[in-house]
Amino acid sequence: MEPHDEPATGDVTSLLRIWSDGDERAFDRLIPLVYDELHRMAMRYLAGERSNASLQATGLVNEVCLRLLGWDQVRWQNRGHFFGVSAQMMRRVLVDIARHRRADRRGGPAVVHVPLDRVDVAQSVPDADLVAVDDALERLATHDPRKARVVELRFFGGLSMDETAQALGVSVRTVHNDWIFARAWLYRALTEK
Amino acid sequence: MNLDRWQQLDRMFIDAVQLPPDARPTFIERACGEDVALRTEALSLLVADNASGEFLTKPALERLAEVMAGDGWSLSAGDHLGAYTIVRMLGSGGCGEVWRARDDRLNRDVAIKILLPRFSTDTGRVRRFTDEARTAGALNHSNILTVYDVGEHQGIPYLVSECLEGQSLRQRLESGPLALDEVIGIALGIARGLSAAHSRGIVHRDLKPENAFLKADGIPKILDFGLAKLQASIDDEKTAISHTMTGVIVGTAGYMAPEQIKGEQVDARADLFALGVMLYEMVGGRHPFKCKSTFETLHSVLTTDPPDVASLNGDVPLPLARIVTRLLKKDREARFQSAADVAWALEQVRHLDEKATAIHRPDKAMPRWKERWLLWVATPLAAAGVLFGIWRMVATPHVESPPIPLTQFTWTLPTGISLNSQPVVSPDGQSIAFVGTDATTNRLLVRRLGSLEPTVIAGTEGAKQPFWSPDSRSLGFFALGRLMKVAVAGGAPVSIADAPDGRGGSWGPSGTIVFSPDLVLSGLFRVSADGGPVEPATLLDASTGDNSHRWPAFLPDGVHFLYFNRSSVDERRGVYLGRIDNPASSSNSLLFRSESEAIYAGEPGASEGSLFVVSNGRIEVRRIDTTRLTVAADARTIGFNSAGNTPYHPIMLSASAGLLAFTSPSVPYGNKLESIDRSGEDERVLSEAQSQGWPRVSPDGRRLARVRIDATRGNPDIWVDDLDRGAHVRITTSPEPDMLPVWSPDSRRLAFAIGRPPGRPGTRMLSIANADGSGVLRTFPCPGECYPTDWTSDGLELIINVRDAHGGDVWAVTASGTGVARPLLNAPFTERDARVSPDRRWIAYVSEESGRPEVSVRNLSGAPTRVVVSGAGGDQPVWSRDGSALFFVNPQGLLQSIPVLRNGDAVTFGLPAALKVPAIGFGHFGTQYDVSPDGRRIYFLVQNPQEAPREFNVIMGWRSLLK
Repeated sequence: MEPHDEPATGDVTSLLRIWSDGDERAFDRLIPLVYDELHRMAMRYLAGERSNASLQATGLVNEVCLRLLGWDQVRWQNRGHFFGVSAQMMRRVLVDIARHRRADRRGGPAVVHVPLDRVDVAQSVPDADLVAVDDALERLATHDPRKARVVELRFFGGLSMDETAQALGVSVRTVHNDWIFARAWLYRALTEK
Repeated sequence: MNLDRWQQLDRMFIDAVQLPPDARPTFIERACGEDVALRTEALSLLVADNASGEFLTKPALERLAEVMAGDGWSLSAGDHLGAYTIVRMLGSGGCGEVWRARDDRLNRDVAIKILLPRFSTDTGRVRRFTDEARTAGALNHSNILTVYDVGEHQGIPYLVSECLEGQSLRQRLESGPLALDEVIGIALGIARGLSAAHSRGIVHRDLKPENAFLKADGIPKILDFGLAKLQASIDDEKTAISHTMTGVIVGTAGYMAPEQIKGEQVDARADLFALGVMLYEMVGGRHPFKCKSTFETLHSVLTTDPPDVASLNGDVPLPLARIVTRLLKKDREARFQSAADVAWALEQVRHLDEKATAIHRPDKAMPRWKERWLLWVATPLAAAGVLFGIWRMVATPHVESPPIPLTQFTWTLPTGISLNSQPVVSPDGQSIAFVGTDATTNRLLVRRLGSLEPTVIAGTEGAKQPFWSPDSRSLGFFALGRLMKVAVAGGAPVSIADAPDGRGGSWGPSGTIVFSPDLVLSGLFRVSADGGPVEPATLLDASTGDNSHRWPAFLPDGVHFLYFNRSSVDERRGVYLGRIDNPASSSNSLLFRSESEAIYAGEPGASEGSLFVVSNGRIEVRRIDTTRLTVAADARTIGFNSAGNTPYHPIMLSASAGLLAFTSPSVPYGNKLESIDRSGEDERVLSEAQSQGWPRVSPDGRRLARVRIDATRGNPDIWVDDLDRGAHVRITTSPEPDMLPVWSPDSRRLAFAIGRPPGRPGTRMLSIANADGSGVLRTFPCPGECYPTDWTSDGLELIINVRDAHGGDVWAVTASGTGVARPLLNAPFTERDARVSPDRRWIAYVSEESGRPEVSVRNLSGAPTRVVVSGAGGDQPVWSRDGSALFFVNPQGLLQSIPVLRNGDAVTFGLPAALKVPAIGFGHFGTQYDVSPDGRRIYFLVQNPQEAPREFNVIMGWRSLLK
């Protein structure tokens, strides 16, 4: 049956059940339990064919969380909470991947026996660097935690405006305004010297 | 920027962006007046907004995917891959990167080729890659790149080989004409390498100048053995025939033999064709078939005979030209039949022996590489004579027959084996298949009714999700990234199609299998059980929130099937109807909402069948009209054993017309509340098998409050246990989560936190209720997200944790209902889980100033001196009721006790000593133990082990349960 081949990871389920007040430490203890799997699945997605434009990050996050946390058999009541957790986890995983990717990759002068048919192209849009976005988002959070959460949910969690509003318990209009402001603020933070 | 100014900026910016762009600066100028700093700030944000374009509009995952698609796998110097230390990048190609690395064990340089992540999605292909790389690793020949090792880095396979200095044949060809002896040397080396590989049944399939490496000393080495299949099938730019899920093997256009282009089974002679092309290039200075487009090139390979290479280069010895011609024969029967023959012929040319003109004709062809393991034999089922009479009734149901008498029994799996799939009833009702797991390995087992032991089906290691063939003679299943089938009577399993991480299959009466090949974002596909093309059976539209079609189940007509649609949208989760001949038909065919898939059971030819779903730990049965394809709205529950009636009790089941097999609701995840004497004696269980936490003994020692998660709703509520009489009373019934209770000093009331109600996240309330269950007295808001940790001994104040910008602070809030709050501890680091000593002079709490949780104590009345009492980390402080001891949990999870020594006003905290009680666990959220008022007993939680079921139930005549 559906639940069987994806057993709820006991500790995770328990933590989540107990954790319904958004306690940061509970989240920190949750992360090691799901990080590896989420990382693996994110890598799989990243490695995958993306010609199909309808593939959505949210689908993956949902799938990962449902699978890891057994939420599909639990009928998770608090969808806002779910969104919040998944966005936060996704942020951590993706920023780690990006950080790793950023690492030094100088090539040596010696033999090359693989055709060099790809060249790195400098990225012009500043969100190509998730590590920088993450850092800027931290700074934004010191001014305005809610705006930072909006970006986390929208950008890392892949949520719509409506879902973000639901997750934060604020109106869509508020989310919209926060989003516009945060985008401009972050863009400035990432482009100004 | 302070908060006011920030909000001012926020408002102004939002107001400005409502205006047309050209009106915005004026608006800002006017709104800011003389405040130049604010004006600059606002204008710079408007500029940024203007320029931001697509910034952040794509989700980070997609953005990262784009970025990563644009570059390669990223390793860096100093990284470790297994025993290898990365030195530097040697090069990167379309599908991988090559790094120079150091083998620390053997102290030698190696080359590591690692695939780009995007080529590693297909676990089936990756497995073939690693398998073949291992095979290539077994090839030890001076003309083949020596593969030392294969490994995996974050799920991406890599290959470790000798580190070569030199150039590829491609580079050599581009640098100028080759001398004859150089050509012969290269071709001979390649032929010898191929011969060594072919003699082991390994065909390269993608031989080309890029894959022939010339060492600095001139010795050729064939590269990328084992990679060829994988590389060929993914490198779209260079191949004309796209791979299907069954994996048509293709190579690089221009080097592929005609039979390879045609998609026929490829053998060693295809490599000889490629060698011919390379030899032609080396001798003739140009490619024999190359055209402008890939298509034309392929066409040319199939239809054109290139000009004799001797016509391009007058210096070519005739025997060599003949070798080239012969290698390039369209009909592989007309080619050389083995690489050894080619080598021999080339040697003749090299020796300029007259006999070399007579090209050796081999007597017999090399045996073709065949997938011998594809053969399987179906043998007749064992005699049915052993069956009991009742099984005959089950096996030959008749529509008019009276219901089979209800018989129920339990099957226990052999010792050491646990159940790892649903027990799957065969269509003839004679056998039950399941996946059994010993300590390490999954295998298929089949137990025939009437036999005492199940039979292990050989060769099914790693199997999951078995399903029966309509004739009950074979099983389909998933293993090793593939959809497979195996005859129950024995024989090797046969691979049918790729299925990286399958989620169920169904084998229809017409021999078609519908299956879900992957976990993520996959619709269903169909394939003949005999193999062949794989085609979509449903279309998944991820934009709707759906993320998987899975668990298909054919209906008797063999055309329609049921499946489960997993979706993040509640309304879309459920059982759907699909048609194998129309993938688009299923998108809006929701039959009914469900959290589990449906199992179909019905008698052959009957117009009605039954659908089983598991809902809230119960088995529900619905009638389905198999002609009109409608499902009855009402579901009937098979009523038995509802002790575990919760969503956390998965049941695995399957059914045929007469037989139902299912696992009992499994032991729920949860814990036991226990108490133990502090000397480690007299352990008692207070409540079992529940999800519960935060036990608190009342100050009078007679009751215990705890949070228990309501089994059906999944919602935490406060419960109070009478410790003398064992009664349990639920104190809260609200739909919100109620958590972390603390007792009033008179043991009559409880304060607790109310969690975020669904849809209203962010709000937090404190509540006070009568401990006898007679109702909530008052509810008041927290100064932030908070929960109570203590109630002072004078009854006046609650001590609460408040989450804020610097982690957490400790506040006191009046318990009388006004809810006036004052901060007690608000240092710029986390302070939490505070407890005030019974004399109210000290507060013990967890401080994270050092980055590690430490139990600290601070004087509340006099100078605020802080003493760290835990020393090497600790949390969950609890005072003894007489104030003579402070308990806490160390990072090893062990309960510690610190003596509190008083001498007048002076207080000394002694050294921690461990209590002889089981580990409490460190790093909990809140405090997960308590000590009785007399200090004798410790109340704590024990996690239930989660065990796989080792037995299942079988019910014959289940239909009488519905009456």
